Amino acid sequence: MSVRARSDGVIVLTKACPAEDAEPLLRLMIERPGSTVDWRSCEDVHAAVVQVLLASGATMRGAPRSHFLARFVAPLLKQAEF
Amino acid sequence: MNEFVEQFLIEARELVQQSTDDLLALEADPSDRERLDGAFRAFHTLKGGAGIVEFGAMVSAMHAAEDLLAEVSAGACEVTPTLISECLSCIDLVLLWLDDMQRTGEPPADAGRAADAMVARLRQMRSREVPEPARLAAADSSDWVLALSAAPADVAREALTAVRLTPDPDSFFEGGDPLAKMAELPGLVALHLAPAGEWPPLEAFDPFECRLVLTALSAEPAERLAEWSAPLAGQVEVRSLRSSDADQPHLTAPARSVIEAQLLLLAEGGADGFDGRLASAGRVAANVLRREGLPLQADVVERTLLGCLAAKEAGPLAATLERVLAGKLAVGDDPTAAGPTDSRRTPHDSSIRVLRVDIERVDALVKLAGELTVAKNALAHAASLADRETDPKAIAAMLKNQSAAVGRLVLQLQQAVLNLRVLPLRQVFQRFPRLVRELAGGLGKSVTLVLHGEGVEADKVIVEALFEPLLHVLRNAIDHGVEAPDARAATGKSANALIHLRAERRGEHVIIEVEDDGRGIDVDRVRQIAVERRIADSDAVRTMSDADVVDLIFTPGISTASGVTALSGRGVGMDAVRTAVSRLGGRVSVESRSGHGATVRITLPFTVVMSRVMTVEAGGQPFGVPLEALVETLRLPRARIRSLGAGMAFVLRDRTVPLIDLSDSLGARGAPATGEMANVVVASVAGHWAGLEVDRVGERMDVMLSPMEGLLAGMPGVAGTTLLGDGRVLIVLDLEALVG
Repeated sequence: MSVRARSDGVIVLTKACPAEDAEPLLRLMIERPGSTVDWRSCEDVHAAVVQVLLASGATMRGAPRSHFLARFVAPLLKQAEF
Repeated sequence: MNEFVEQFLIEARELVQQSTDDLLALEADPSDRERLDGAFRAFHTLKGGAGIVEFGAMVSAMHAAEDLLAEVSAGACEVTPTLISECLSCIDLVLLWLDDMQRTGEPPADAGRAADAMVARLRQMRSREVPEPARLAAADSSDWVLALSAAPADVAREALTAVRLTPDPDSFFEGGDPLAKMAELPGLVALHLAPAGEWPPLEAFDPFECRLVLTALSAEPAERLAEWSAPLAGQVEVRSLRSSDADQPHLTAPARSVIEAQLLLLAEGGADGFDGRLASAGRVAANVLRREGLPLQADVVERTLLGCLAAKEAGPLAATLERVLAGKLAVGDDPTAAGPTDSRRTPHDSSIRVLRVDIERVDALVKLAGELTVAKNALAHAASLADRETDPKAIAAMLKNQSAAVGRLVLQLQQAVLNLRVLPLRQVFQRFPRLVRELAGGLGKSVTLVLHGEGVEADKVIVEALFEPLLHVLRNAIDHGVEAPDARAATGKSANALIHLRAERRGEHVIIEVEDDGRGIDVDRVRQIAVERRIADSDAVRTMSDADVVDLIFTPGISTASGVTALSGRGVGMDAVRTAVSRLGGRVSVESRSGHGATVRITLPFTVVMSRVMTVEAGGQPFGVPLEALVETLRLPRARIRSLGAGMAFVLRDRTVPLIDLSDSLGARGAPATGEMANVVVASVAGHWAGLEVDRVGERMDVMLSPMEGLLAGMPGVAGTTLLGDGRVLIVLDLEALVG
């Protein structure tokens, strides 16, 4: 499982997030609306997961490892301000 | 013809009739939901049937009609005469196809073009807020392309192609990752993700349903994206942002729109109607390319289509169309294309003759067959007794009984069999309301046809043969009888003319009447024309009663139209009606009420197949003279026979009657007849008397005619044959052919 909630409430996505991660992510976003998602170690995120991020209005922290995600997907998501 | 096709043809024709009725009724009362539903169901069922016999083009056309009627049902579209006309045209197209299939046993190979045109026409009828999908697609597409063009300037500068990926909702289940796919797009310079519609509230969100629409810009020209887009066919749109190459001919904007619409069509998912969509999309695209003067590209599209139809996939066709749009279609030899060499059409025997029969009539026959078997057994018993029994009287009594029983049963059998062949006149009547509507419309007249007695039955042969003569009569009534609406108003008549088409059974005859409330027959004009055209001389015409003058309209050569209208006036008309009706053993007459209309009355025998004849013998051969034509039989002193021109004649009650030697005219006479007295049968043929000299006159008989077949079929003067009790063949004469 590459989706987990940290003790401080931030949802962490690690490395490769397959389609199955969409459901747990969605549950977490329903439990804590407006949560921040840390995807700094992501190399590959399935469209289903990105869909949940978009639909839930998640705030992203940091830039993902994958060039594609960073250049093309990140601009579509809310970014956390430091 | 395989039985699916046979069944399809029967049911389709019924559905065509059904939908025509419903559409016409709907036109008269647009609020009639039952009729609207009826028409919709008819198209829907036709679509299903077409699918079963793999007639893709018809599936498309029916689907388009269904869509149109669905919009009417939803209130998005109004019932107008134009809409009804378009639906009726669609029906006409189906009829043409059905006739073709009847002949060949297969769906017509060239139906695609006509189907496409019809689909386009039906689409155009749809509600104005939603114009043709072609236009819609263009508007929609430019929106997304425009949105992408709002990208940063440097990106916009580089971008050559815009791509939109709309994955199926189940893409995730199928293991696909549209985002990854986008990541692989060659030359990706910009990406956008948006939901199709609004995002649902999270609680109701299904994370495994793909609701994303992915759009992107690529720095690569469209054709380099072909390989990337090929597996996504049906879900992806690729649009060139500017023409990157000048040497391929440019497609006009409408052509582009149509081809884009075909891509949309191909993108529609679902197995239902897949073949139809595929065939339709391919053919429309090819047609458009041809019209754009790009026959080579059209050929490539068609070849790709054939391959796709065979492989049951749309991918290659969509890719080809995208290349067309990108102006990058290679028109060289395509090794993968291997279309069938030619249409698989082989002429089939066209005489598929089918009867729908009430099950009760069949049961009645089964019962009769049983009773005949009993009678047969009884006869066999009597025959075996005849060997043993020494008392001839007892045998004679038994045989007489059995003969009577069998005779009775056979009569019932004849009747039951004939009853199989009778059809209600509805079969022919119901074709007319639609035709009248069009005939009247074409002449700027307003006519309503009212049917009566459609349930009256007559022999199948008669019912089928009535169509042409009735059509002539109706045409005449609408063209010459019914006045233009303002002329009618001027004489105090309603602007809408009424024509009644009636059927009634009277004893052994069926009476059919066509009554109109027009201006009636202009008797003086007919008199004038009869003289002008030398049909009768002026003296005769002056002394003729009005009724007789009116009857002259059945003479060939009379046409009272001062000009030739779209319909009549070419001399084909009422004389053809009289000929046709006579051939069926009937009579036709007309009654006119000056200024108020006319009634054409056709009297026909209930059945054709049972014939009453007077038997005669000539040259050793028995003949039958139809009883209805018989005037009298007489023994004529030979001295009274004179030569007249090339033939012979005699005078009977002040009439000169031509005399024909029957055996002579049939080529059977050896030596000329001698003897003081000649046996003559006087018959009435087309209004004139003729005498037939015969050797012997026999008795009256009821015969069931066998139709002439094979070698005898072309024999002139013969209406049919039957077997006599003594085993000889009786030839029933066709007097008109013989004497006329």
